[in-house]
Amino acid sequence: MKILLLIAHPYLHRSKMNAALLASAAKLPEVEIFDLYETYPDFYIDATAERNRLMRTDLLIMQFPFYWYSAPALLKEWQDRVITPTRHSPDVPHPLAGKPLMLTITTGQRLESYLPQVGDSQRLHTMSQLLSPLKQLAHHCGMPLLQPFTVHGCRHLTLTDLQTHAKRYQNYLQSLIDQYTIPADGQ
Amino acid sequence: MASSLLANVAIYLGATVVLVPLASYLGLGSIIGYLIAGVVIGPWGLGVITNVEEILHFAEFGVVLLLFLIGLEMNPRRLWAMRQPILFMGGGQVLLSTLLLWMVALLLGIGGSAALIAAMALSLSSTALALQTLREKNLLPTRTGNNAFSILLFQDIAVIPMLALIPLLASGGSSEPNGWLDGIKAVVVIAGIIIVGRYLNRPILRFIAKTRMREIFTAFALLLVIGISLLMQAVEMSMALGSFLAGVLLADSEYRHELELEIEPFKGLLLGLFFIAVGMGIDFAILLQQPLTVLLWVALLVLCKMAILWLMATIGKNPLPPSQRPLLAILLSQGGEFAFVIFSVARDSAVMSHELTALLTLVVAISIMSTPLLLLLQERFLVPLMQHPSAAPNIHPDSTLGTAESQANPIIIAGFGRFGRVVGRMLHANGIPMTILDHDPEQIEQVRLFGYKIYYGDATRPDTLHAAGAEQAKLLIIALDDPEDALLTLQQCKKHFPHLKVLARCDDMVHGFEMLHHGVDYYQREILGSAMALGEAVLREMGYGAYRAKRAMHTFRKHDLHLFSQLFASDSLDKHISITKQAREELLQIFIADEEEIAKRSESGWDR
Repeated sequence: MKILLLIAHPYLHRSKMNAALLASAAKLPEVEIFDLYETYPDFYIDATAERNRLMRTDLLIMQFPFYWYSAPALLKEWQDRVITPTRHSPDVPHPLAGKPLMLTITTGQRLESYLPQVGDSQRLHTMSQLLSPLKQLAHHCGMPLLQPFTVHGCRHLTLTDLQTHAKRYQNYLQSLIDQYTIPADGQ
Repeated sequence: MASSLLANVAIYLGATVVLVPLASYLGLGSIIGYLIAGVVIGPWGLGVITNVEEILHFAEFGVVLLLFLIGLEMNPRRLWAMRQPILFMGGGQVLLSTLLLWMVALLLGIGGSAALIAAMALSLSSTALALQTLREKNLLPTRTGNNAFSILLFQDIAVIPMLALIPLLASGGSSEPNGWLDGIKAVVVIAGIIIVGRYLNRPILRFIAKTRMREIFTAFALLLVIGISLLMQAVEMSMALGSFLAGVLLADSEYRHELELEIEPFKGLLLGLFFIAVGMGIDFAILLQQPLTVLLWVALLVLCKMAILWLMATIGKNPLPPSQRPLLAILLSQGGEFAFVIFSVARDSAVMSHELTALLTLVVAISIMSTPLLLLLQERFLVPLMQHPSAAPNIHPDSTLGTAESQANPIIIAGFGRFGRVVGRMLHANGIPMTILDHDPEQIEQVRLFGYKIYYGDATRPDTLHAAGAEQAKLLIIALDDPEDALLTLQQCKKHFPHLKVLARCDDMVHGFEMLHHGVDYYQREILGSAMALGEAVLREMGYGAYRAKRAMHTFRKHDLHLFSQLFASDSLDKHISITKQAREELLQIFIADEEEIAKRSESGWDR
């Protein structure tokens, strides 16, 4: 069981929450953390290397801060370069088919900002609606979409909150590992 | 004559080479080693050297050089910031010690004016011993070091009125008019030193540096210090003070590190000679005649001085922490080299008797010997004792290194030409401090105008790197234009400062090859980046969109890096042929590989 965790945060040194989440994930030997902005600061993504990395993994996590209702630009560039539609026929499954995808999203605003409210023109869409492009991408590739892990209102968190969320993250990842690990006797 | 000089030199060096490492090995420290060496070869030991006083006088020049070096580490700003401790700590120590010692002397039955002169002379401590100890233990940047230094500096100044007082006490104040003239002379000389130091030294140093003759630079450095010393002596002021002043005035100059390097070995040897002379000066005849008197006087002297120093460290606006007070008290508890001078002047002007002079000289010499021993005891027994309850971390030598560290820059840039300047400006823009070394005087002059800390020095020499703070730094950036120099610097750095990460500019692929071979941590070919940027601009001109051109540039860079790593990693490297030659041959293969890359591109449809 191998999990690839793509972290796409351009200013990781400023994000205490993402740092805490990554520290939690790093405790699990099954998780490989891959820092996109650290590896490709000039946006020149090595598509072949990244496709190979994807093929070696069983489960994909995209972890990113919610910037203007979407992922930071490099994660989009990654999708464009790496998951570019290959010229495979509709009958042949996509190379990524069957590998579950999970999203870990941190937001600066509190949860209320992403709940629709009657009479508020600023809140047109729910969080779930805003994530449609990624959902559609997963669907296209035949990747089962897992329950996302979200932390809202990161600007307002206390140290205790940070620790609680980090612990919750570790538990969630562990449950995924338990769920997707093929029992030894099954092989 | 010449042969006897050489013989004497051989005796000194021989004794030093044998006894100092032995003393160090036994944990006694180098100073005790020198003192013992002096006793051994002196008139009361093997008796091979007899003209002790002459040698002591000559060796005092070591103290002068030491103060010049200390001055180089100061600058007028830091000195001004220290005016409070200099006046308070120094003034208080000299005044109170003189009073206490005077009373003790009168109680011991020494006559009036002789007692006063003796008390004044004995209130001074040994700059040579204290500063050398502080430097050896890396304690100068600590508060104890600062306080000790302030006191010593005040003492250096206090010598002037003390020496002036002796003739007054001798002849009842008949030399009054001369005093005025001397004062004016002194002011003129100091003003001269300041003006020369401020406005003339740097152009001269620049001119000499341009000739690129090392020995002339060394000669000038020595001439500078000796000249100032002679000037100061001519107006009967402390030579050490004058050279300290000259050092301070050059502390901000770009030649500071280079001057330090040139003077350092002379200082070391002369200071060693000074301690040897002190050891030789111990008159065992008197010691054997009246051992109790001598030892009692030494004990009284050291105890009185320690009491006053302890008091000074305790009172005041911000007293030293209790754990540091014993160190300061012991460090300055001895009589100093100025006492020898004052005693001989007092003897010559008949203020003090010959017997008293000899006795006091012996007391001072023994008190100098006692300090390293007391420090040893303090380190072994007192420090662990005091550290236990309060865990006072700032007295331990290891942690005081931290204080010194915080004053050194984390980055050294070797070479500040076209390449280094870009790196330096970028660091400067990000507020990251650095120490810069360059060997082009004109370059340095220009860049200094913009407030960079740039020094004249040859980065290929390990001692230059040392002076630039390589021990404390984290990164060395080699931006030298000469590929051979760059490689040499890299090798020296990896050998002497293995903790330093080296980031280097290299000439071409072959040079980079050699750098990797010598363990460089990161290298960048000097023209690659800019040439590729130009290539990108050409693609733009050929109708490529900006983003397409940028990607093409990145693709090429990747291809180039890949090739390079392949070449370097290849097992085909023949150990018997030089890497350089082989790399040159393999350069040809790069062009072949480029052809292959083009062919590949037209096949694969990925990068549309």
